[in-house]
Amino acid sequence: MAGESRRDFLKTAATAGVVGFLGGEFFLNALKPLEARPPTPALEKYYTSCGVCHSNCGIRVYVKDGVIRFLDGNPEDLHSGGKVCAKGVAGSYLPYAPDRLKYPLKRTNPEKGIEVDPGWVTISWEEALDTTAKRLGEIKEKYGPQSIIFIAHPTGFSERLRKALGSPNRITHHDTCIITHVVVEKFTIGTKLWMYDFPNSKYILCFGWDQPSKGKVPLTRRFSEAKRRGAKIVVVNPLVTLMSSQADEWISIIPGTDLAFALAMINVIISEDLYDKEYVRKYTNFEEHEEEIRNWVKDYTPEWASTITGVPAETIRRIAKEFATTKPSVIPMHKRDPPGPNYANSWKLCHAIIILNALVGSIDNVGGWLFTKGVSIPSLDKVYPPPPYPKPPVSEDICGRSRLPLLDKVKLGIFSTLANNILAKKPYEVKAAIIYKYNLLAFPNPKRLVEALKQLEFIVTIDVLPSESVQLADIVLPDCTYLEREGFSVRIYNGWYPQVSVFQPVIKTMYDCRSADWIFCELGKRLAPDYFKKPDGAFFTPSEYVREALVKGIGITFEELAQRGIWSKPERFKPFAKLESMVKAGKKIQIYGETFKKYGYDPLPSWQPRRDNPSPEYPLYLLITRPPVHRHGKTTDNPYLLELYPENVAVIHPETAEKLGIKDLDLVWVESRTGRVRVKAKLFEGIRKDCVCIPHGFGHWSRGLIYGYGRGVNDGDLIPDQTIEEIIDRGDPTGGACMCDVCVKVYKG
Amino acid sequence: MLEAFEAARLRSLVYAILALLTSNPKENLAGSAKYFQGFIGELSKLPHFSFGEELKELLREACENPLRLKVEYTRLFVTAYPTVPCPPYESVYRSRERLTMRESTLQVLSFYRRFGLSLSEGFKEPPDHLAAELEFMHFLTGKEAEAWKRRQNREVVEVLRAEVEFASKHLAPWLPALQACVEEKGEIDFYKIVIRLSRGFVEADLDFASTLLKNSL
Repeated sequence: MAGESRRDFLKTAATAGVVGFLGGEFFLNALKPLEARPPTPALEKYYTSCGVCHSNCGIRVYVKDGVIRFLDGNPEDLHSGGKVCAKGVAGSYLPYAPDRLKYPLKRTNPEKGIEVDPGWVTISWEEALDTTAKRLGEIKEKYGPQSIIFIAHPTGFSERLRKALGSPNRITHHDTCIITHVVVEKFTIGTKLWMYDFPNSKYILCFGWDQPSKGKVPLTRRFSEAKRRGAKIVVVNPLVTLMSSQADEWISIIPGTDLAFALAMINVIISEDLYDKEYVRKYTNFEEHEEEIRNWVKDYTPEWASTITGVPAETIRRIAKEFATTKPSVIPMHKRDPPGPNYANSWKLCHAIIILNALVGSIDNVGGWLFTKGVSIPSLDKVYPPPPYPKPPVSEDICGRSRLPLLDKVKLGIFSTLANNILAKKPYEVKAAIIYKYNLLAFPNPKRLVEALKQLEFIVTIDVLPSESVQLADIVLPDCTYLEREGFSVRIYNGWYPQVSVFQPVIKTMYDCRSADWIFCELGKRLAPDYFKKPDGAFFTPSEYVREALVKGIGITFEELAQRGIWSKPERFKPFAKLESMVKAGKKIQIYGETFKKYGYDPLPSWQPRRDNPSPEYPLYLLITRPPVHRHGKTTDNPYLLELYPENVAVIHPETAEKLGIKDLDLVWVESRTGRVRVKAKLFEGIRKDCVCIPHGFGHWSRGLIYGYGRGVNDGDLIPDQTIEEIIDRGDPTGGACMCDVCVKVYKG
Repeated sequence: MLEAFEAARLRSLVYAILALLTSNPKENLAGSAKYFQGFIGELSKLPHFSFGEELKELLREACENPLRLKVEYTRLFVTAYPTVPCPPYESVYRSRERLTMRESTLQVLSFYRRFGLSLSEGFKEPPDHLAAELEFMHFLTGKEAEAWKRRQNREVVEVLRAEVEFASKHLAPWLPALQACVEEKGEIDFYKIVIRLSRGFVEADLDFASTLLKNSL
């Protein structure tokens, strides 16, 4: 017996070369003899990209003794221009977060829900991957592949797995974020645009565009330059934000009525002949539909808009004239501004803003809106072509996207209908979910989603931190952070020349974390091996893909890119170059939305009110904003950023508060038709008296998040979820989630 | 009077057992625990070791119910719900921000290097994990035992100095905070006892080593 246990012991102990005392060996498990003398510690510099937000700013990370010491921006990068925001700087904390997921976990408590202990136990990667593959395989066999849904930020690898399994369910967040822009820009301009030539703009009109208040570096630094060079800034927003302080003029507006303001501007510019006739004739379909357009807009006078927006008619008229005559002028828009999926009419506001920019000739022009100068790096399917994917036995997806034909073409969305459809088992039952990079708190009415997900037989979550999505999982697979993985980022926030920025591991991956790409490949090997092979029959790895794609796409090796940080192909910006090539291909900017008309939608953005309006029960408009130092719920577990911005509050005008008997920092309930949250009130003169504003990103209920747990509230608890029928009835082709289209009441409590 | 070599050997043994018990329980935990059980009897010869029975009981439990320990270990030290975890890393208790991989962590790593050690590949944790620090003390006291055996007095003093420095600067200062955390948040007694014994032994052994160092100079 003693001999056996001694053998077991020796298996545990690494004994190499150390002569010791326990009959010859030390008990070494954590430590081992040093093989070679380590090099003298020096500060090493690595190029990589920031992964906190979608901008992926180029950064330089300084490492000593294998630990990140600090980071700064890469000046070569057109995105960051050498600058980093607070989120980016504090991002160096992420690998060292004490609460990050470290090992694969298995749930031992079958009960699921908020405040339920999952009873985690660490397991090996082999067990975690085998169990996941076995459960998904069984569910696919028994209920069909459509019963497995991917609530996953789509990547080449996750998509390979989804398609190989034959699941039609690619659920993405875009209906809560950017979907109006994606769909409307695609079917009017032909593609999504991301960047503005602000430094050359003379007049910047912002319909709630608020990026500098959110610290979005690629946009903010160029906006600051415009400001320095003396551009006139006009901000239309019901709330005073940092942007209002930068503005020459701040115009307060009733939330969700910006469309009326924009329509009246179109009315003035067309009726007073202020538009750029040559540009409009050459590059838009205005002339082909001139009569219809003039008829459509003639009643949208500034006087009409004034009654809807609460803005004086003369102000609207003056702004329209200034915008049309101070050249170059531009109206920017980005994600969750009013033209984002905030209101029932947001997709039309998006169209109206495109029309305004086109009327003054600002698209693809100096000081205007730029087409992205991208570069084509081959996708996973191009580098390692898969065998033909199986045709999903059921092609209809669970969120109802296939009933919105234009949205279905971009294959994005829909969060807002998911909970309802899972609970109603419409059009079929869902049994399993693969959740990657998405937090439940990002959904409208997330509590309903929790109820829906509790019905599933199996959930696997891939994440870095123990988020709310992790707490509902059966198996948890720990992802590595962006500072520990390989990859590349094709710059999209740039209209000057193509650039590619590297992602490289700047430190050894901590604990037993693995990249999500690797995880999808491992699941793929187990579930659909034929789809995860190279032409020679061997399995491919994410690393191999990155290397091959770079060589095929831009002709350099990963190592070269890692050395340089950024690959660039400098060229001068040529105005109208893209528009000219569109004209050659027989395409023009669709001021009159021919595609919309073809699919039965409004071809011109006719006035449509917001969905929810104040009532005696819910008399106040809800506004939602994002703090400058947080990236949604992703960074509200970061102690550095929490020091700067520790919790959210309900911002209320002092007069409104007085009527409700509320004092500064009183605890109040904010209640909508969907739910209520209890939060501190902050009295602020810079908000309309008929509004309440709650910044987004807080209200974590996962106790695993040791800093974020219990701070502030989640605005999502106030936002109604939807049914696909509601979206169809509204005539919205984009499937927007109406993230701010709700009214609330506030009371002490 | 206990011979100096023997004292160092037995102290090293205690540290080895504590390092085992503070590691994430693996499949072969039972085997190692069984192996160490055979040595418990000898440990009572150490003047500052008085918890032989408790240690025997802990090793028995480690042999019998490794899964129960694994669940509790995960909950307390890795990912916990519904209470906040007690991360078993020195830097978390010694930096204002409660972070991992801080300055103190690097000092610990350079200590290991000074004595020709680095982290083994299978150990996926920062260098200042409790188990690694205890294992390092096991290593130092083992080196001390060897030096006594070979009558290398200069080496004895050098190693003893390192023991005192490492325990007083790194291992001892954070154990009270960790113990308080585990006392409060532990659901079964096992790790409460392990951490209490670890703290008790580390503190008593620091006194023991300091006295020995003074007498050896």
